[in-house]
Amino acid sequence: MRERIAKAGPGLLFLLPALILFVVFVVYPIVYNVQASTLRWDGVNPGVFIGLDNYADLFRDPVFHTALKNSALWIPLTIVPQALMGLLLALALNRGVFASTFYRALFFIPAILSPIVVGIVWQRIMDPFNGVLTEVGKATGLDWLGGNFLSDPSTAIFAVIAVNIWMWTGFSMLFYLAGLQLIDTSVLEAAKVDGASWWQTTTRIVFPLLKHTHLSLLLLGIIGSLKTFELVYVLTQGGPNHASEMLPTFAFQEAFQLQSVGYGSAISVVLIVVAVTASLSMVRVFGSGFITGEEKRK
Amino acid sequence: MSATTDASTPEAAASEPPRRMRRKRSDSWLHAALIPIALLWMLPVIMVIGLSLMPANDPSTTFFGMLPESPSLSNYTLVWEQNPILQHLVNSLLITVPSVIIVAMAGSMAAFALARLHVPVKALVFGLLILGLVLPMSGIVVAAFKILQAIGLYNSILGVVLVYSALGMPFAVIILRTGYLAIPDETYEAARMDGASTWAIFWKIYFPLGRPALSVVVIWQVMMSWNDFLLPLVALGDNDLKPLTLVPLAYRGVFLSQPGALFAVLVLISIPVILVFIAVQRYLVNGLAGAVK
Amino acid sequence: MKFSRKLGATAALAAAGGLVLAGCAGGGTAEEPSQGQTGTNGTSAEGADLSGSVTFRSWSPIEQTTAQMVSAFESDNPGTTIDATIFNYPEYLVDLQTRASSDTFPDIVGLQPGALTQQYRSNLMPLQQCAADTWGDDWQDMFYPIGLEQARAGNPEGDDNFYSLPILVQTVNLWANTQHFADAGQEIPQTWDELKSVVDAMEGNDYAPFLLPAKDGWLRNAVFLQIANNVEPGLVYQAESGDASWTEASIVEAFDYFGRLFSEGIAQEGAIGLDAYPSGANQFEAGNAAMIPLGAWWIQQSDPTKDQSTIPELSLGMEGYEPFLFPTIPGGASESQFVGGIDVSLGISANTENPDLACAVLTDWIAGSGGQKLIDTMNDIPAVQGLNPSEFTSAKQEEIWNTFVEDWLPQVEYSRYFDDPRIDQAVADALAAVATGQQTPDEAAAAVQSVQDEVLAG
Repeated sequence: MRERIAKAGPGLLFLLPALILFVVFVVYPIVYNVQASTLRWDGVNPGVFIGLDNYADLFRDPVFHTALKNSALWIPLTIVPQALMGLLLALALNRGVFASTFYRALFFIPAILSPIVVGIVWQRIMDPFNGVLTEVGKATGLDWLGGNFLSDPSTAIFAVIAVNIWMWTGFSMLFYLAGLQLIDTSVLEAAKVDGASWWQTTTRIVFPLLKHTHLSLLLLGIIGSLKTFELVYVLTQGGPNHASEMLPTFAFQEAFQLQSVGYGSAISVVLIVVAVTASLSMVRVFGSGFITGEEKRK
Repeated sequence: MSATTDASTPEAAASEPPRRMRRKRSDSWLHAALIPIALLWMLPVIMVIGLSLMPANDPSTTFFGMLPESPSLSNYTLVWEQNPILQHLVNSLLITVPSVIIVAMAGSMAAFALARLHVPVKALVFGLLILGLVLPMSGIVVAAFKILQAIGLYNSILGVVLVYSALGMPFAVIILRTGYLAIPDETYEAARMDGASTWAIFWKIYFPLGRPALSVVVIWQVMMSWNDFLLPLVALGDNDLKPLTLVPLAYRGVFLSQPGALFAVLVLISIPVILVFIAVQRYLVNGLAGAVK
Repeated sequence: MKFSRKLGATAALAAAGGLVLAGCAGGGTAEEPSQGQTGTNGTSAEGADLSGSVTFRSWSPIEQTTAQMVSAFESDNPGTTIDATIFNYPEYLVDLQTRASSDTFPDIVGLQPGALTQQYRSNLMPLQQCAADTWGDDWQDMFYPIGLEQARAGNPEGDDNFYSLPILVQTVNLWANTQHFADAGQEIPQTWDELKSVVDAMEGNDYAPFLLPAKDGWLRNAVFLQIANNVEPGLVYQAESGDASWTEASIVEAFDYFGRLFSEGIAQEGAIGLDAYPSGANQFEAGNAAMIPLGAWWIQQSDPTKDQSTIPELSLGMEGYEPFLFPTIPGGASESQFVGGIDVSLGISANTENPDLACAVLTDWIAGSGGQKLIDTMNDIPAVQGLNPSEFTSAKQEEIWNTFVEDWLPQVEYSRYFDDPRIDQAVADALAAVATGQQTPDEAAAAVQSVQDEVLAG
């Protein structure tokens, strides 16, 4: 129907402003990165073309494997808890409780804060020498609270993930609050009449109806996970000994601190490829409905 | 899906649903659960504020290390006296407001084109949008700088505005487009029948109806262009042009000698974003409703 | 489909346009440095009529101090302006790289010796002419030897130019909280065994005996270099130049002693997760530690130019502190070695439009009235000898200052840096691995050696 009415001309005109900005400031940097990734280059002095050697080196680099593994951990371990807690909060706040506006703002504030502050504060919280958790642990006898979360290579990435969850749960909550408002209350009333418990209604009716919200959060979550930079940089600098390295921190370190812009660019290119592949395969698997909105017309 | 009708008229969605009335009873158990969670959630934020009140001459803390032993406003006065805060604030506004307007306009137009006009290869467009979402600032800053220099926008606030607008575009287009798709086809076709131009349909019908989705874009864009500091740091040479986010650098320095002052600045920087959030959050909830639909 | 091709073509065209406009990655934009440029212009800070403006970008000194140095120069030289911007170090690296690759290199830049200076060598002007014109032919005698040596670190064979000149130098060393030592009835440790017994004796107090903020790679490396030079002075630098191996027993032993700081409970819990600034410094200043490894710059806590009421009790006039060297290691050198070097050095762009002014600013900040302003804040130790703060706030502070400038810095022989950033990173990683028990000292040394092999292979 729409195709018949519309002509390409207006479509192009309407797209043009966005497209120009996009091509100049997004496509060009990507081209630049791709080109730089074929060089041995310190970013300043003339580079030497080395073809795909940076990529060959990268795929053999154990730090790269750690970063990939950490991304693989990061994606489910942030998205699922953020979504679950966000959903629970949204369910609670959607009941129209007193001061729900206030609660909403409260849970969203961590997402607004600068990662620099968040990093410094959480480091103080988790410092096993005399951080907040340690002190609380001493006072309550829960000694495990004083563990080396950030400084133990086997737990560092999880500690950063925990902070990320704290930061972004409010964001998931907002998405779910929005999704919940769209659910037709008559469906819920009918279920109630049929004698369904709150739990049954929530898991069997509300949860499936929130599919678009789940998928939007999944998409934003995957992309957000892959490009996580500041939080890791401030909390652990990717350490100890690269244990909590993510692709962007790794790329930053190579390009600017180790003067290997070519290698750093190769990491960025891989990051972009992984993100696009992951997103497109999501569209494949779940259908493009949640992005294009077309599904409801079926 | 029956819910579509609900979202199709934002006026209806914006007005408080009547079901809320029935739910007011027996909320006390909810509060009993929410208050401790909210408090726990706020502890790090309280700590941020607490540390911003930690005077430089007494770095000792109390209450599990969360609050200063002798709180004082000295950091705030110091920051205020040492920096032309108002000047930086104006610059921040000069960067943020235009970038929000550009993203809102160009993003809405593009979203309208993708939702209602003839634009094939949606997968390609989608892929391109994802590219824009995934780029980390540190990966593009050098390239962006070269472009700004090439088009004569180095050391200009407009240049920074354009980069932020471009980076915010993908999120805006995705969210706004889904919002527009929730507006039924009949609206579009009825307007066509009345002989309205494409521009009139966009500007008089879609743009206003898409306001809730737009508020999502606004808060997102404000967060991004207000908080980033890497790009202005590199792209703006003149100290007179620098936004508020560059003030903390004076207190980070090599040896971060004044963490209290740093925290004070960061608290100050966060306040406008929180205000924007509070102002648009009513729309935000409804706006997302349009978007995720 | 016709439309999509048009769209694609438009996009490709625009992208190509962007490329043409902005240039490709990998090009070098710097022109060859014009040798002796300043000389031909007959630069002389005195007498020359200076005018115009120069830009300065750096991560150090801190912003407030830089502003004082700028205004000191500007008021001495009416008609000149200095546009200064101070960054955090990581962002500074981004900025410098951006500018070097886009012909907007600042007139004066802050540099670290070694790798950073070398990376930008083609953008930098040799400075010996500027120095000789300003200070006379014996200008090198003004500087501490370690500063001059490091300023040329990494220069190619046969290139004796100074592409940067040091402005501040330092030692890396330990600091003691003398109050805790007095209360515990302990003496400052001179040997490893004393260090252990002091820590044992201080155990159980509400402060950390040895606060090691080892999250930062630079700090781990600084501590390691102190240990390594106490085990066998100078050996690590031979390993870095390929004349010795990282797997030699003495270096492995240094890794082992570094690891023992953690495994034998000398450092506090979670040391590898604590950053030096702000957390470690904060804790030490709040009296929560008896010892901390930092360096000469800690004296800046007692900055005489600051409102003294904003300085914590311990730091006031350096009242509660005493600097000391890392204890000797059993079987190693009989005396603790001095490790240190340049804190920050300055370079001038090879393409600066105003070399006379840039030279005048640079030399003023190193040894003139701008330098005096800098040193008045006790930001660190001046690179030139004989430049002292105009004011001391206590006898103790003056005594510590004199220890640094008269006794310690002239003796510094060993660098706190590695020349190659990859080695620097490899050592920092290996130390973290040893500290957390991921690697044995042998494995750590071997890991560094394998990076060393790559570096030497080019």
